[in-house]
Amino acid sequence: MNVSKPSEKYKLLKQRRATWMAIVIKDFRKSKHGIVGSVIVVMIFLMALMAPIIAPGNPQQPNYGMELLPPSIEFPFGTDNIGRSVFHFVVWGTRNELLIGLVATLIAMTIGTLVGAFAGYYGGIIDMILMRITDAVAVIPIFFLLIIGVSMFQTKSLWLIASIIGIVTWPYFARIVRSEFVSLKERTYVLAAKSIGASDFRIIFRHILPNAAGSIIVTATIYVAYAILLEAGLSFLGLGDPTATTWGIMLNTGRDLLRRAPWVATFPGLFIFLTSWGFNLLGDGLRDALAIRERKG
Amino acid sequence: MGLKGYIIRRLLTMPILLIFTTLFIFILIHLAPGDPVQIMLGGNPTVTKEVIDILTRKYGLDKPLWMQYLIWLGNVLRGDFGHSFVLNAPVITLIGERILNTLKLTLTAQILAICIALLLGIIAAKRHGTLIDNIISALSLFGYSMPSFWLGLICIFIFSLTLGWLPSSGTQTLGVNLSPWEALIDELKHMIMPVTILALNQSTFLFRLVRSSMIEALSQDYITAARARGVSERLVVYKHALKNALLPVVTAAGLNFGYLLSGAVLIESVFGWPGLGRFTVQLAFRRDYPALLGIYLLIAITVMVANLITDILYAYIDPRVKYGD
Repeated sequence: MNVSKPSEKYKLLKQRRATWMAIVIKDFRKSKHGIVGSVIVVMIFLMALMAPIIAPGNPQQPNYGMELLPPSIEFPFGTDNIGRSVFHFVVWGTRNELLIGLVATLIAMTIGTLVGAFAGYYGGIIDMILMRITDAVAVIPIFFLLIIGVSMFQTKSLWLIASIIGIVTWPYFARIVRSEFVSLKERTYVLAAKSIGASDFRIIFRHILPNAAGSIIVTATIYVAYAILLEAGLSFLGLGDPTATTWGIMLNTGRDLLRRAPWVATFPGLFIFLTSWGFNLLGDGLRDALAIRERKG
Repeated sequence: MGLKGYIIRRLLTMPILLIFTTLFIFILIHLAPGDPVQIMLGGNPTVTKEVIDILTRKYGLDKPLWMQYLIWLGNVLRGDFGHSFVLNAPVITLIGERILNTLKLTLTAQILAICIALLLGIIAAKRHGTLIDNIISALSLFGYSMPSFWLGLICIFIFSLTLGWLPSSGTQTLGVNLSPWEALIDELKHMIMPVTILALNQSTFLFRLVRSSMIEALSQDYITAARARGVSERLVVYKHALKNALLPVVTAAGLNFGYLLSGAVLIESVFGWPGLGRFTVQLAFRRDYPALLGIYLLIAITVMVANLITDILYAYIDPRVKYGD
């Protein structure tokens, strides 16, 4: 190409240097959903990080004589039936919500990705067996599976609940990763890797998996919201860890106080919703950004 | 392969799927530390060692896990879905009325969800890319992220506790004599909130599907051809495009029946609806392990049958579907 002006030459060079990441970020910034979502998610993370500054003190601390107070300057979200500050509870709860969301997603993602990758790559009988197992787990309405699984444990910790959520929700990941692998394994770079004698293991994890990363990341983002909603539902039913500081636990307390103190249920629920919405929006934005990249590639 | 062959093959794979799915829960349950009998008794200190031993033998829990599973499977094949430890009754008799209540709730919600999704999906697709489309799409994500149990509480606070318009729990008003007509109105009033909230949740997912399949249908050649022939826009949208967009939506709704049942667990608990979900929660509190296994199996069968019916209907409605694979 004949390039005369230095500025144009520079522009071209810059274009060529535009990495995958830069294209994704550029497209992501065009997505309104993505922007709003990332602002919410960043704020949630900041809230978790700065809990001791925003709401100093122990969130589980009862304040005798200050039960069921409506929202005020001292207690912005009011107090519950034993005088705990709902605001403190919500702010500190953020940490546990993120822990549950991230741990459950990590477990579901790991199991689902492994199952999906092997099923999609090998096909045939391995695919059939792995996908029938996936179907078998996916067929049960998730909440029934979760309730039965969780109820069998006498002492429940957040780690346990997060693990069970991960163990029962991996099938969706497996299906997505499998479909990616089924199409990606036909690409020429896989053929090239095979022809120089790369092992199956190397092809799966070094060649195909990075190319499936986009849809895995999008799914994982949405899964964080899903896991938080599931835990909140469990705690709301009274099947969570009753000693933990989570939004679902406070919602469970507020359920019986609905007539006398509606704020106890209102604020934790609002934050569950906001967090779930934020992660869903972020997932949407990432999907748009990554899909545009795929079309260009 | 024809439709008949497909159905037979599906029916044959169902038992295999059921074995996998029950094995999964068996393993999950036995991963829990501690003896199931003690878990069921909730660590009650007054229970003697002898009682525990008797119960352990009664439920066959002294046998190895694989044998327990085979015994359980054998009972199921003989039509014995288990015996509730807490209520001292066969699971199958306990479930009857409750499953009907759950179906009443979920099927009504399903129909309402399809209607909402179609209405909003068509509006959004017709105005694809405009402000209205963006607003409806944003609202759908909004609804999708909404914890339904929280929305339920808010609605109870507004419509029952504050305004007093709707009853907050149950399926009917108890202890009053009503004429058949009044009883029907009473029942409908009890259904409004749980059904609407369950339907809203389901419709957000279906909406996205209606929207995308309508956008695709509206860009097809036969739509352009219909427009070129001077067919009115109304007819183009509602007859030509909708006919083709309807199929994937109804299919997805059917295949998503399990998701609806899952949502019903929370809604039933919020609204005191005497269905299977609320019952399961009550049993879970008491750790009634034999009954929970029975319910689990029945739900698995229900969902599988719902999926099968959906697939068959799909093939029946759409002659293009071939079951080669």
